[in-house]
Amino acid sequence: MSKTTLPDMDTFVAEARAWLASVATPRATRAWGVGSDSVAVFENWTAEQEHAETDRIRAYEQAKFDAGWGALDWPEEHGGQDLPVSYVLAFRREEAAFDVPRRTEMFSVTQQLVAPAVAQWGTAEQRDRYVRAMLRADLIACQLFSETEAGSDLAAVRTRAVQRDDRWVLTGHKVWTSGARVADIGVAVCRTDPGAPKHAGLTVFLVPMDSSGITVRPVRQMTGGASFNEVYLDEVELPDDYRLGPVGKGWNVALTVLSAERLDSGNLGLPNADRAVELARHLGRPLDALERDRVADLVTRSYVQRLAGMRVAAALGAGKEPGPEASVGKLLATDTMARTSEVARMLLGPELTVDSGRWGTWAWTEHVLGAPGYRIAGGTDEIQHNILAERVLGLPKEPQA
Amino acid sequence: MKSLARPWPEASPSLLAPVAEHADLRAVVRQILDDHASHEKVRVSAESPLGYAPELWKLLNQEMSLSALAVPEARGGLGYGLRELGVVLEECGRALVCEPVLASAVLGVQSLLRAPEGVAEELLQPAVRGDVVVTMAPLEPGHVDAVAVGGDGWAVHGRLPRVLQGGAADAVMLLAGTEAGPALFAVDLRDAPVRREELTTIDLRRRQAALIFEGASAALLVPPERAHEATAVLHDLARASLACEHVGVVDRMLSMTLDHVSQRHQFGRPLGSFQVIKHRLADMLVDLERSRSAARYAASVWTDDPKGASLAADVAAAVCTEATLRATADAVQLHGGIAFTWEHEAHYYVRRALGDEPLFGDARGARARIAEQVGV
Ligand SMILES: Cc1cc2nc3c(=O)[nH]c(=O)nc-3n(C[C@H](O)[C@H](O)[C@H](O)COP(=O)(O)OP(=O)(O)OC[C@H]3O[C@@H](n4cnc5c(N)ncnc54)[C@H](O)[C@@H]3O)c2cc1C
Repeated sequence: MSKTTLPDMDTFVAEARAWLASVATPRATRAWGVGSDSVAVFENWTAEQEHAETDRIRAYEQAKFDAGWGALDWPEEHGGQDLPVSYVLAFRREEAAFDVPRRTEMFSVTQQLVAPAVAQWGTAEQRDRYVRAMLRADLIACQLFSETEAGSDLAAVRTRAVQRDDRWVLTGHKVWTSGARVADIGVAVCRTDPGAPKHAGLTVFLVPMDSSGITVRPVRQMTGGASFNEVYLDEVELPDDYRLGPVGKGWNVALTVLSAERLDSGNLGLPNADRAVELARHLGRPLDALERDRVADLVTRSYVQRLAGMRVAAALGAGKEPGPEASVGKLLATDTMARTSEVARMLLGPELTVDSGRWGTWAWTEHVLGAPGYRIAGGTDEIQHNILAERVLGLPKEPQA
Repeated sequence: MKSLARPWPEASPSLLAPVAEHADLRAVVRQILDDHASHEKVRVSAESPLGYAPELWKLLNQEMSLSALAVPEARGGLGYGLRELGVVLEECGRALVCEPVLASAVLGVQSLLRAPEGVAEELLQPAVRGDVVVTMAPLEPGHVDAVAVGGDGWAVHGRLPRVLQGGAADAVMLLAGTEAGPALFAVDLRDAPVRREELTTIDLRRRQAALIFEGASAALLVPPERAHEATAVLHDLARASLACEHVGVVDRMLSMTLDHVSQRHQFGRPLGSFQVIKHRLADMLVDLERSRSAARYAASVWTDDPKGASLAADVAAAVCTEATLRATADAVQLHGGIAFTWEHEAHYYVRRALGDEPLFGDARGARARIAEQVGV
């Protein structure tokens, strides 16, 4: 599908860098001790802050899209550039070196997980309505997947969608929905056939989050803030053209969303790992041997996580499907995050436990308390292990209920 | 040392792209080793007086010009680099062969290449053909001294406590102290006044010997003013090469264990259906992929820029050394009692992991150098 004549990669990178330099400052030149010291993994924002920050990031994403740097690997019909994914990764590599607004997970959910699923499963009209708007971040999507009784075992969802006249009526209770307060669309996995085997009775809907019958309640999480929510759907009525994919194919649609996460978790945790190394350099006292060892260990982990990303990029650039190096990505990321916590704790000691008001110290509580969330969100570490063992190594599947 | 602002891999991702030529090379080596280096054959070779099979060594050099692979064409080689040699090393680690691939084709030949053209050419040429075995002693000062003996001749005195393949080698490259500081020398061991003491080693497939020099003549490869840089480059080479071998070891541990847990049943089911076993193997896979990324990148960077490969080589050493220790230990555990027997091949890999750990510096040492490079 890509263009037959591709732009020269060096030129592309130089132009990307030039554009980035016109909208942001390079990250490496940012002085230590000034500006924001946030290393939050999940933001502790009020509803107003969440809206304001989302708008700020959206403005950058829109500028990027309009300048031709968003949606690089998307076809022109969706406002893309029709380039191979290697160009996306090259751009991200450059972007990572600049102090651009840090995308919350809602942007990757919208642009990298949901937009492709709509492009794959949507009708022509749905594609027109949503894909470009999601890529440009005009619309933000959230995942209405998990429920109290359906977490890792997503196919156990109970939220019902029943057909009444020419409309669907959705009723149920979703939990842990990140970004529901700012999302325009909720991608809801619902049970449409309670009689069918559990994976076969599911259907996915694109639910406008301002529909009547929807109540969003923030759930306070262990960081103290509320980046996820519970969402009640009480007789939410939708016309049939809000259904994504065929009735009964909800499991396949959901898998499309979930497997897109693979490529996307690649860079997760790296900026904070870099910050922890910076912290070590600016501690104002010499490190002892054990501390130096742990900081260097963190460097090896973030270095190798970057290499894994480069291997995926290189394989894609060469027109090949990446190998297992892509599937281990999320585990590398959660590992990097855990080691970052270890280093922060070791270096800061009591400064991490009592807010002294000093720049760049207490702020690390947001990393240390937030990192455990990523071992759970988006497929737990244990589920990742199951996936590696079964899909990559070919070992027997877990028993299914 | 100037510290790196961004301790990131800086090279282009294309360096890590899959290369068809490498896959072909791998297939050729694997075929040769499948045919000639079964566990039983290697065991016999390793226990022979020489410690390896000269026929296999010859075959590797004749069929695939192993020792010439990473030598510039101008010096009689094929003009490839450590990237390609790394593929061979991975396969050698996988089959755990005892031929002097690391010692001679990599370290010995590359240390000879640090000398300007024309120096020690009488060693380089046969070494590139694989007709002689050359090795590199650990490049630590303090063991050997060199004195000028007129013309451009030198004589060396001292004791090298541990030299890879020191018993079988025809020549050794070493660091010896001179009045102007340590310098890199080559000593032809054939007909030289050298005593060799073959050592008993924990690794049953990698011989080491002590070499005692009492005035053996030596050729100066790199003078004191450039020896520091040459030594650093060779250390990085050693670490990157060993890391490549380790990728092969971890790969073998994973496939061997995977086969075992798929075939063996307990409690009426394959071992591999127990989740705890599945997760241990998934961890081994993560270790393998981490090792692959780190070792291949280090080998590639060293190929393109031997003086700029320190961070990559140290990361590879830290990652692969630990992965190898973990994978060999887990392989034994997941095989159960059978792997604890002398007959089983697992302990050869465990011994390789143990023997290699301090060979060019352990993981902690690698991290200490990383800390220095990133300025913490
Ligand atoms: C910060 C955060 C954000 C989130 N955002 C969203 C969102 O936007 N939308 C959404 O729909 N959901 C979201 N989630 C929910 C998330 O997807 C689930 O929490 C996750 O899938 C795990 O489900 P659970 O919490 O029910 O735990 P459970 O599935 O009950 O798991 C509990 C423990 O058991 C383990 N376990 C479960 N099954 C197995 C198995 N087969 N083998 C081995 N171990 C197993 C798990 O690994 C875990 O350790 C979010 C979660 C977090 C923490």
